[in-house]
Amino acid sequence: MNNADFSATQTLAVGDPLVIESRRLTDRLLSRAVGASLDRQLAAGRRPESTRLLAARAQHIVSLPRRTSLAGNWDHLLRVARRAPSRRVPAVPLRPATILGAETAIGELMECLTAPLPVGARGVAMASVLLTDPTSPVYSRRGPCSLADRLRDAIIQLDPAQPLMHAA
Amino acid sequence: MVAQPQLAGCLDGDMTTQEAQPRILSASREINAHAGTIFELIADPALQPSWDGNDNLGEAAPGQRVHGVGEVFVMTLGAGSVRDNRVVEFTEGRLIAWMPGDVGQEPAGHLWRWELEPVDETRTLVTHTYDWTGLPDDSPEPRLARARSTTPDMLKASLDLLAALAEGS
Repeated sequence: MNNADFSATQTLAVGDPLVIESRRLTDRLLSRAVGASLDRQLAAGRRPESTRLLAARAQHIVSLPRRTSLAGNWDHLLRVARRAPSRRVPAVPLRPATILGAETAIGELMECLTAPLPVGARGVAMASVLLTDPTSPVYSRRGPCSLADRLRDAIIQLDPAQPLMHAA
Repeated sequence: MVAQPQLAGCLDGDMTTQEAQPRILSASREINAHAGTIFELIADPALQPSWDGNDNLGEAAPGQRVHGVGEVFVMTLGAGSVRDNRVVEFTEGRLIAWMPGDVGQEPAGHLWRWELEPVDETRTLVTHTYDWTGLPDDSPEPRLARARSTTPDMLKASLDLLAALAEGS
């Protein structure tokens, strides 16, 4: 994330309690607005403690409600991939065969995300980026890695001990 | 409501040239309506042209209400071209994001996101983001030009139109 990547405007009510904590609110808004960019950095292995925004983002994405929502997104993606093309959307521009071919890994990912255990922010970010990156194997044939491989990498990084194992 | 000055600065220390253009634009405002009411206006593509401050959307067929990631809704732009919009983030009542692309093709690389955060039962903080960091530099020039010409004011215009609709409903 850099200054060239982001521009924002915000409108807040005067007297709103949110304004009292304007800095915290600004951090939160920025962290959300640039969330996808921060997720890409976390997924690439940048440490959450590198910057205030990365730390805020990492804290946000590892929360159980957030992880449960992400798991729900993967579940819905599977259901869409199983659907036959309809008259309304005759050619669904996803890659159903790729998605269904990775069903086992998706199930494993969902299980890890929804377990009430600590997880590594990098793994959550990797699982999230796979859904929002236009070059992800979910949408594109261009990537060198299979979806199942990318999911397995994310699952490995969900282990919170991973950074320690690399440091050892 | 008081508009805050535009923010554009070094957010986490990675400085680049001042000439470079922001590729993530965002606008936020509080809307005096329940989050569910606002979300319905966003998640039903047929209603999106009614609050489009970007003057870009034409029409979408009814019956495409979005319910989750992986779904695709079809939108005809004002200029007549048609886009497949892949839903890439979704939390009912809280979050929706989609990546447009030509019909039947891979996503172009830009993304529209809406996040709703209830303040209380009748007020919601809404953040609208346009992120074109994923749009390749070799994209068709009209698409790049459109991305470059998008401003936070356009996003705020959508927010204001959305607020007028939600607060009036």
